Amino acid sequence: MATAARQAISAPQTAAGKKHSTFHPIVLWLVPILGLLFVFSVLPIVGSFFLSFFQYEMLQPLKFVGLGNYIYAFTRDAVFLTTLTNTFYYALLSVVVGMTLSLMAAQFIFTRPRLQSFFRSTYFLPVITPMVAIAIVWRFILQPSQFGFLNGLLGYVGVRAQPWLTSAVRVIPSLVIIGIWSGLGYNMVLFLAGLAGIPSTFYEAARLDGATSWGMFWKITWPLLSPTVLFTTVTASIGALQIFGIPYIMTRGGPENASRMVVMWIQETGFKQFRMGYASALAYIFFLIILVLTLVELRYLRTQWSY
Amino acid sequence: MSTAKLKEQLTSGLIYLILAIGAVVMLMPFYWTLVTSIKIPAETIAYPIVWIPSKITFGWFQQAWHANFPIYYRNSTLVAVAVLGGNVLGSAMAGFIFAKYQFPLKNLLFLMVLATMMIPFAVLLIPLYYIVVQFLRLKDTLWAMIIPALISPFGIFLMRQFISTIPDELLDAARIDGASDTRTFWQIVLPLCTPALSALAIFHFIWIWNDFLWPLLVTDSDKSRTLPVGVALFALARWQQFNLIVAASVLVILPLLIFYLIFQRAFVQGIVLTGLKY
Repeated sequence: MATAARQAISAPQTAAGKKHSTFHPIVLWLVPILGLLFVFSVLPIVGSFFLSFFQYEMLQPLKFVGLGNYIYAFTRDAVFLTTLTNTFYYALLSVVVGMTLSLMAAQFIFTRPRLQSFFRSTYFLPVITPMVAIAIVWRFILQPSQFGFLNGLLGYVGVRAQPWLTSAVRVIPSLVIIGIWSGLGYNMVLFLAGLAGIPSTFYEAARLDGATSWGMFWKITWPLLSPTVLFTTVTASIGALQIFGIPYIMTRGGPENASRMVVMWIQETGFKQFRMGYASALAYIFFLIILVLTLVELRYLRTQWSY
Repeated sequence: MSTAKLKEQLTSGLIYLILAIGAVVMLMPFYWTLVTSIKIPAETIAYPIVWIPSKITFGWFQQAWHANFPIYYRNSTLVAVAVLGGNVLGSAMAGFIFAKYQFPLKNLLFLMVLATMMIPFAVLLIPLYYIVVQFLRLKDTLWAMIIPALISPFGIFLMRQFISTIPDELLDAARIDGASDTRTFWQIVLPLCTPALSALAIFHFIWIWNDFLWPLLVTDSDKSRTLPVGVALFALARWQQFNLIVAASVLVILPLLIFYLIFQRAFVQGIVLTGLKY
């Protein structure tokens, strides 16, 4: 790669499309830039793939195991399968509910000009709040006893103190609440930009024809907003599947393994149990799953805006 | 008043009510955080909730601040500045070259950029750790967090898309006037890219300021820990001291909050630009 750029004979693309075959030394800047990218991204990606076929425990020599790691992950590693289920459950809930609420908030704020910037800044506030602070604060808010803030609030309406993070059933929904609270503003801002891109003449024409606001939403807004919906859903899913910090700080995967996520398990097998070849295989399985899911989302959501 | 108008006003009122409830839900944790950080313990663990503390103390902030906070701040700031600098310049330069020049293997190299952009970080984790810790021996230094993050494929991609929209005529004009390629880059391309660059900088700043997994793995001591890792470990060791830890998280929130309140518009535009400019 480095030599390729060094040998580069480049030509500026002129407006007329003519190409001068003069050498442009500026192209040499790609050597350090792409060199760094190569060493710290491409090499690890390839290296990880290579390692995933080996038993590698840091100080011991490599031992080739073929597809052994992959087979082990699906047949013998119950924790991995649990983390997969947990992660999908979390991602599905937080993306579906989160997207719906973000779109609702965006639509409401967009159609009511009064106080628009107040609501936008307020909803966006958690987005700029550092993840560690969110994890710490919400861990206290969700304390299981009646002294927890949320339980205190529920006490006003006569609900008894509930366990949140300590209950195997409620721990993931609790993480979903935090995920939605912290991510709503981000997606909302993207939806607001998408809404602003829809020509208002469409709505005016529809209103003259006697359309209801519900009808206008489904017939105008939804189809024209699909590219934004597609993009936000894909990025939100990829982000949600890779959740690590929040459960790491708040629950450490507990109770039992009820909130252990895939990336936490990769980190644990690789850096606490030092099974680095195996952790690489888990990472690749995870990557392939994300890839397939993204392709499915692209395909499914794209069909809706083909008209 | 006609029924249609009444109905319209009712809907409007209902929507504002929902938005207001949403705003309360968004703000409540912030209020609770702020109040808890200045409360005395007796009023923290109390039922029903003490909304307005009768006694105020700033002692928790003092205690939290003395727990190596200045070092975490310094580390986080140094890492963020270095990473932002590298990313902004590297992305703009590479984006410029990819957008406006022809050279061998161009498509293949750009494909490499795109491919790395799509792969989750977990895949890179183990070999990257090996390269940085075993090979470069950078464990427990700030370099371990700076060097791997200096160039982002997303930044290169974003800048290429943005610089493609700059008309070639403009660059040709500079060339005819005798400007070198480097000078064209500094004096024409960079100034024109300011909106995209500031968006990129904001996007990266939020990301690097929050980055947790990688700094957790490559740091061993407080001398190199960044704010998220330092505070998380500080909190994990002292869960019983409610107020102290909440005060610590206020210290984490504050710089970004101030930054946001000053540059609010740029923040939101940055999110939109990095999110939608495809």
